[in-house]
Amino acid sequence: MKLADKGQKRRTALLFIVLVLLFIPCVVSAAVLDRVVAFVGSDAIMLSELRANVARARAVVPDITDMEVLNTMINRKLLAVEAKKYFPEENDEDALVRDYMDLKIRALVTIPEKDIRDYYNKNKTNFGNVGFEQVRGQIEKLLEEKEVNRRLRDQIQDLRARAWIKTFPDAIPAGPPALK
Amino acid sequence: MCALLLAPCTAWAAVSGPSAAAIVNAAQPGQIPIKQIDVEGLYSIKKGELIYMLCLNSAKTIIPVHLRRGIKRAFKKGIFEYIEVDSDDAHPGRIIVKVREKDVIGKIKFKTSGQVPGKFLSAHLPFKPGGFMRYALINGASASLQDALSQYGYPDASVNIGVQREKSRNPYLVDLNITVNEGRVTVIRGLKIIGQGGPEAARALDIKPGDRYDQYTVRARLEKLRQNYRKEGYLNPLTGPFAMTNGILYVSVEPGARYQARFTGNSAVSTKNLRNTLPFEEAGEVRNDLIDEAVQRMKTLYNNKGLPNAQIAPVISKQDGLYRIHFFIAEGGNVKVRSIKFTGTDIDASRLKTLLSLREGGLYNPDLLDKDKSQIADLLNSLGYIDAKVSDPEVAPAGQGKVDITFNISEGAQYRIAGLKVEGASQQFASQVQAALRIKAGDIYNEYDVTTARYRILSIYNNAGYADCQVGITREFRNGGAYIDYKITEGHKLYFGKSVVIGNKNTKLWVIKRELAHKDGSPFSYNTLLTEKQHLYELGIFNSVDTEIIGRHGDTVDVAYKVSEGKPGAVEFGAGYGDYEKERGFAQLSYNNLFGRDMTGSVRFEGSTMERRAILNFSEPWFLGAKQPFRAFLLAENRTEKNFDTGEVIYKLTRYTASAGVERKLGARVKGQLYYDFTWVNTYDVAPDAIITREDVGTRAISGISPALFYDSRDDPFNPKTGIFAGASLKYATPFLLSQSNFIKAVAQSSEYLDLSRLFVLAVDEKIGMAKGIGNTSELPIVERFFLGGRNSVRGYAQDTLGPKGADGTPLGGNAFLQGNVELRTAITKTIGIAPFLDMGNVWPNVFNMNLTSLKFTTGLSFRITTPVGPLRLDYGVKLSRQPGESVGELHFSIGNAF
Repeated sequence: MKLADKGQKRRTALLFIVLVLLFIPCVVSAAVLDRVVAFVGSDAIMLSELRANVARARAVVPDITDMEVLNTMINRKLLAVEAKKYFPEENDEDALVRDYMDLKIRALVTIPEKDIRDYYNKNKTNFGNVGFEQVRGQIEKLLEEKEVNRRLRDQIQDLRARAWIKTFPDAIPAGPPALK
Repeated sequence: MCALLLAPCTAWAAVSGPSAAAIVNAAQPGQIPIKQIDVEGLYSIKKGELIYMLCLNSAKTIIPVHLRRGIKRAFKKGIFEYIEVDSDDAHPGRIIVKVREKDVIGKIKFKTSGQVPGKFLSAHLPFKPGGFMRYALINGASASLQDALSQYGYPDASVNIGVQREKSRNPYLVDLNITVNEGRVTVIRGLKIIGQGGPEAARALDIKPGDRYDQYTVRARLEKLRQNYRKEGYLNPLTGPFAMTNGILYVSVEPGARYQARFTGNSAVSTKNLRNTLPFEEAGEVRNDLIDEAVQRMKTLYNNKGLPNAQIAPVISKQDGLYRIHFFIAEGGNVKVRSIKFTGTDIDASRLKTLLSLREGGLYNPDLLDKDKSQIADLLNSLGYIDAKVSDPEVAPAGQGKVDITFNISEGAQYRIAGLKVEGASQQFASQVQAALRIKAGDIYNEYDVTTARYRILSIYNNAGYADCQVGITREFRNGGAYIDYKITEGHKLYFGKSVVIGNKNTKLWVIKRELAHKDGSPFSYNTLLTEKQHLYELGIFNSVDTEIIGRHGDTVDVAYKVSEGKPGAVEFGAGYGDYEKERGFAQLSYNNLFGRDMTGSVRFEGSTMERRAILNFSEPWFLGAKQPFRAFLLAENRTEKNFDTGEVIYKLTRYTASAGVERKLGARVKGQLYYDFTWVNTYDVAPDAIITREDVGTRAISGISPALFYDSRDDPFNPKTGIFAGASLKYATPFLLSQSNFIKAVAQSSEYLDLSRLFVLAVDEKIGMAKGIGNTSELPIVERFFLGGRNSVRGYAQDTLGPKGADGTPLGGNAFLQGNVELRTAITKTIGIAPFLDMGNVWPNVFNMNLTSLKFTTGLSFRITTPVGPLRLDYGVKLSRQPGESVGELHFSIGNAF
């Protein structure tokens, strides 16, 4: 009985080795020309697009990961799809996102005078001898940006909850871009 | 060895994808020639459609940017979860496309103890059979179903959703197994109403001890109670919230304040209509400004009735939360318009008056003055009086409940086009643009003409592929002249790229693509998209059709055609009564998208006291590669023809017919058709005096071809008001086509419709038919002879009773006929009408016997009720050339127009 088990194990190991040997040359012989790494509804995000975006992002943030870039691309896609409802004639994704942010986020942000003054008072030491009126515009802009970011985050969360999104992390290989 | 290894290799790769090493060793895509394309994992569509969307069908080498666009384009189809394109280094030129489609839900199976209906569970799930399986939603779906069950009275319910891949041809089909453990049920032991709702609320809630604590039902009944309170005049009733404590359901019900409205003195406007103007229910309160608003609304009603002097005085009191509002109304007398005058213009007053809503002699409504003022100003502007001003009209009492209205006009200068310039049109379009203007220097300035010229210019460019073309107009008015400048920005010429069809689950791709009016690479135009959308709708198999630009790459535009398939099957049945057949009925089963090929098949059964009929129909809209419908039908019929007056049988027949033919549009209004039919007919029990040839009795095969040509310019085939329907058809039965009867038969007809006014349509119809036996066939068999008289021909006579008769008075039919009809179709209301008519016609044994002096004339009146498939008619025709022994006239009941 034990001998039979040993024989069975040996056969299994042999089969495994044969299979591995069989597959290795094949695997190496197939090269990906392009593939989907994520989708948002019926919009696909391609490996080649991700690679290009990663390359651009790393020029600014060297340690940014592929998944971080992919998530940014998904967020932009979500915003662009939503923006298309308001700007059906526009086809450029960058323009769509920009117009949408202006119309649905930035236009709705107003910073009350009290908040600007509170910020100045809380950070008075940082401003030194500079008077409120001199920095008022800068503070307002800063608070506006903060509020825009907050609203954008909420908006993206909401869009993500409603959309059908799927990522394929296994489809993103480590290493340099494959496509030339 | 490598070839042997290929199969397991690709199968593995489809699941896992190539390793990082493979990607690092990627080939230079631009240099990869395409020799062979293999597709793995595809189920729902054909390989050709995928390759087309990927743009690999015509490409010789892989270009990365094209490949990326192709994959993204294919993804738009909406059925894919993953697409990967690999090159096989071991076999240069071999491209492997690996796809994974989204899983589709087959069945949803519930496993419960039976306490909760499946319908409830289905309604609270985000998954539907036939929909895509979204695995990420499973946890949320479980939780929300659990929550729904808790509200349904099972707070401890647990839900488990399992996915099981179906063993079927479709590798992407999954079933959902949903196990629901309901747990204990929460039961209501008692009900307590908090607030002023009292027993009335308890009765409305209809909750008894022992009932399941179903929050959905409680909420629905509370909402119904709230609506009832509103109907009773409560302004803002609060029904709810509710809560359960120790088995007792506590419900808060506060009806709140209420109002009662009374109207005194109204007669021209009903109390119901006045009550409808009250805004209190909508606002949920009674306020002074709302009372003012109500009064204004009521005054508008009175103005519409020509009672501009109506006075409305509201008196309000409040006691114990009840508002009593009493509207005292003094309606005053009717005021009519005695005269309408215009000053400051030379335009013919009668022309101006036709524009106005107010009419001389009509009721005076002050609310229409502003509208009429604008109408006059618009007319003046369109005649070049750009600076025209119309001041507020003067309304002067003219005594005896009449007013005189004067519109004071300051016309200003009449502008003519002094300068007309077109900029930006390239040489290619210059002459077309000039022709499209249709305005020239010296013309009176008319804004409508100027604007429509712009649309015509845009249309020229759009049809030529310049979809982004912009045409701006600048107008300058100086020194009495208008200077118009059209600035054209032509943009780039665009071309159709790839077309992606989305949503065709059953319909074949080619059925949709053959309806498209463009080819890949032809000039892009939104008008073409519109035409294509219309073509797809006309197929009758889609509930909705939408087009969307899904990608624009340089000068090519990819378009998606989104279709939603309707239910292809229909069961119809009906019953009716005809003056000739008496009771009759039909049942029909039809399917309009057979095999997803847009073919239609139907089986229909008809029956009446005189006939039984079964018809099998088939039609294919495209035949021999062209849009020319092919139709075929099989008919089995058993019929008894009776003398309408005496009720005696003229003949009985059993008939089997097979017919097939093709139709073709020869122009926008002209249609040709060619049919072949083979009929086996057994005529028996023929009245002895009706037999005029041996072909009238016994079994015969009649086989012939029937070409026909039709012209149709009617606005509505069921109830035409304008246009002409004309046609001619021929039937040639010959032994060469295995016919036992040999004859030729021709019928020509023309119907004309003239819209005389909003109420009157003049309809005229002429028809002529001639037939002749050939060779051994001296007379046509009785089933092929012409008969006249009845509801659709000469209405003063009973069905088929005109023409030659046998010794006992049995109609024999004939080989020639002439018929004419005139109707004045008059609308009394939107759905009811009458039509006085004059019919004439007769049947003769043969064409040489035709004699206009023997035409039979009848006149009468048709009463009709409009339905979507034509009018329901009751006609009475009176004989004008009545013979001794004949009835005065005949009554006919039928559906559809006589012609």
